Amino acid sequence: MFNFFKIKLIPSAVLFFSLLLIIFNGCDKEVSRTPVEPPPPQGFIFINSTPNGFTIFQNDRNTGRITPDSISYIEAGNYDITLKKKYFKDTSIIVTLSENEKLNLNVDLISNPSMYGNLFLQTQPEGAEIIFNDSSINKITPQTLQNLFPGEYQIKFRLYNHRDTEITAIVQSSQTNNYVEALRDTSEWVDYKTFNSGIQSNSLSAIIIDNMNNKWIGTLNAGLIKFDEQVFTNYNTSNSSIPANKVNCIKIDNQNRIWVGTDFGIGIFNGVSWTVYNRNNSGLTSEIINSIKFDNSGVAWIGTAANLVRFDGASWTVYNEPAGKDWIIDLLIEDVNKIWLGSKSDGIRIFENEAFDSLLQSEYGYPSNTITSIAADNFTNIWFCFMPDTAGRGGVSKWDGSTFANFLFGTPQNSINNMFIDSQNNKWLASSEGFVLFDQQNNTTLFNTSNSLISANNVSASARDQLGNVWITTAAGGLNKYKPPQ
Amino acid sequence: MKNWKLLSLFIISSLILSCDEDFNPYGNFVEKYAFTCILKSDENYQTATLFRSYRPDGFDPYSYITDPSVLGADIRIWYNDSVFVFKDSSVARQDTSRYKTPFNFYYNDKFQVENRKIIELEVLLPNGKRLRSSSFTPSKINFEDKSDVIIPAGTKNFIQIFWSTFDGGTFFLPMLTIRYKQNINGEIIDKTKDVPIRYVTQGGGSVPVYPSANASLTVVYNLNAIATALQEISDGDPQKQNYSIHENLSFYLIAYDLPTTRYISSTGGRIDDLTVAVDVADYTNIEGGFGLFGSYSKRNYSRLRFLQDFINSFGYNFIIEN
Repeated sequence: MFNFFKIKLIPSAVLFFSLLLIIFNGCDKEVSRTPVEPPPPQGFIFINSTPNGFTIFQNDRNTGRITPDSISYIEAGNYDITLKKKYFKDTSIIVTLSENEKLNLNVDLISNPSMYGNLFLQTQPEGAEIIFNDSSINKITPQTLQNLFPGEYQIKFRLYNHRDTEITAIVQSSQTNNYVEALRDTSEWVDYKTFNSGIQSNSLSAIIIDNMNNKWIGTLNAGLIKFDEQVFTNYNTSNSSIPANKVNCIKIDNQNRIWVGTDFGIGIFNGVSWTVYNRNNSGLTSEIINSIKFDNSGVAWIGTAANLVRFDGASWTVYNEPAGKDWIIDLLIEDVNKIWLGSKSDGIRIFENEAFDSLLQSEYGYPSNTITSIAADNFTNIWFCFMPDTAGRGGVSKWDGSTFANFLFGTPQNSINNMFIDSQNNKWLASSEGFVLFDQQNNTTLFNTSNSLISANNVSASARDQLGNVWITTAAGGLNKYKPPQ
Repeated sequence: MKNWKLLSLFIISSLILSCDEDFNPYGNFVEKYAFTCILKSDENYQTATLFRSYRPDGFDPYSYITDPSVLGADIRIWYNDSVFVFKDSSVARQDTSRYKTPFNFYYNDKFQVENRKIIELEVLLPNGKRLRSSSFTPSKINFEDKSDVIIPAGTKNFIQIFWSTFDGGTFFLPMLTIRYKQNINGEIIDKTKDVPIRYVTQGGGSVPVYPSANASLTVVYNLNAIATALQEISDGDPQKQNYSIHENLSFYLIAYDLPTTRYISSTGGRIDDLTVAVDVADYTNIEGGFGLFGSYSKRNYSRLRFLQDFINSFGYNFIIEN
């Protein structure tokens, strides 16, 4: 019995314990393993919009993506997709994405009526034509333009005798934006400044009009400007041979060439090219050219900072004032033997029969010793303009051949910078306190920024065109066109 | 008996063979990614690098010569309600002993760090894996009035600059530089000389000790160290008059954000935005990977200037500045 159990039990016990050993201990090893990372989610939303260009927000967070674009490798779940664009209403869509789903999302914003907006356009005065993005839409103000797609639109208002006014109008979804524009009346005055026209400078010094009705405008800083009432063409030291960008005077010769006096000599423009005269290639001893006039023979008489110069196209003759009173600001050729000279601080001079003489202020009583401009009327009177100096005040004086008659305008500090006398014998005075019409009946009309639409008070020069319009340059306010009442 | 013997043989074989398994010391290789970007306050050109981990065939990591940089990732940061996307680019590698291909990096050139702003980062790898992080940019540094302004500072044999900031625990890195001009055969060359806080004697020579990033709100420069730096400018050149020292020194202080500070404190090293050891396991603030996303702000202390007599005592010219 014992042997039986010995034989039968021992193998069974060994087998039992050995199996336990294998099961529980046989492969028990302490091995550290990096946890297996789950693969990235494969969810994908492609977002397209009509129109495209909308910023995609995912759960209120800017993704920095613009439609059409996609959000990729995202987990299953609900996503709040919002499309945003300037001027448009936000469009939000809740998207449910299944695991590893690839979803296409097309958002049609054009078919949504609430996406559109309105514009209310009004002008003062009313009745202006509306030009919408450069196209006429046959509508006039006041007008409400409805159901416009959000964005920025160029709107131009056009009304007779008023300046075209252009605005950028913004249309926003579900809104009516109002624009009320006051149109500038141009029935009498039109101003041309750098911000509202193509003129290259607001600092203007001189003007003359050629027989083609082109306006030639001298500037203080941008050379010469030609204006044909369509385009401003600029000639400066960067794009032409003009001697300097500061123009002191302009004159047109009998060949329709433009003579420009500068602080660096004379430039003559024939419409194509420039001829420049300075101390290096002419008889000029001073390059500061203040006045150029032509006599009946077409000979140029030039007033410089140092002397009077005669140039007949070939030879130069310099006339120096013996007493040294020679800073000539303007000159007037009464006849070939008698030239009136306006000097800086030395009063009125006469160059007659190749000799200089003076009409002294102390003797004749004209306003000051600084003469800015000389002109002759149809009655052979000589008119002088004065700026204030230590000897006196600004003003105008008429020489009738024997005496001076003084006419004073504005304050004593008012400088009369230039005079233009038209065919009706009207004197148009460019002054530092405005523009003055002084007619042959000695009536005075002042135009300044307080009582008219002139762009500035410091007027530098004027000229009248073939249509009767008066063109006025200002020292800082650009160019003006004045249409006198007929 | 025969059965018993067969049974015993089976058990012993099971015990021996059932646990027979190849043991690989590497374990299963799982590719990891390391992203590094430290945003700067002193310029709007920000750079970032992205690398994958790799396993060399043998035990020498340098035997792996395939560039581990990751291209084609979509890297975006969110800042002040705006999103900035990084573009990828590359530059020629100076050291081509290991990697032959150009050095790849990501950049954004329209972004500049301001003080105390939250910046969020998301990197979408080409395989769909995402790395995320965020940073709070450091506060503005204010230099304190008790800081020295002239060198030498009276009878003191050191100069000291103090500052304060709203943040606690931030690391700062001061940098003091002398600006000078050298006349080399008639040509005037602008140069700079970094100033150590002190020199220590080591191996019979004098070794400069430059400041390292730390949490101190002050830095002390030994006057002897400044004098030695000045002497070193013209070391070996007897023509001292060829050197002109600018009156004003350049002192810059960099304040690191918290993640960068923690990184520096974990490594104890100086830091450069493209040479951060991206695979360090000591510190990372990149969720889903390794590396560092941080920022720093840099401020100039412009009041520090030399006295003319001090500069002239070295034989140098003195450039007076306003």
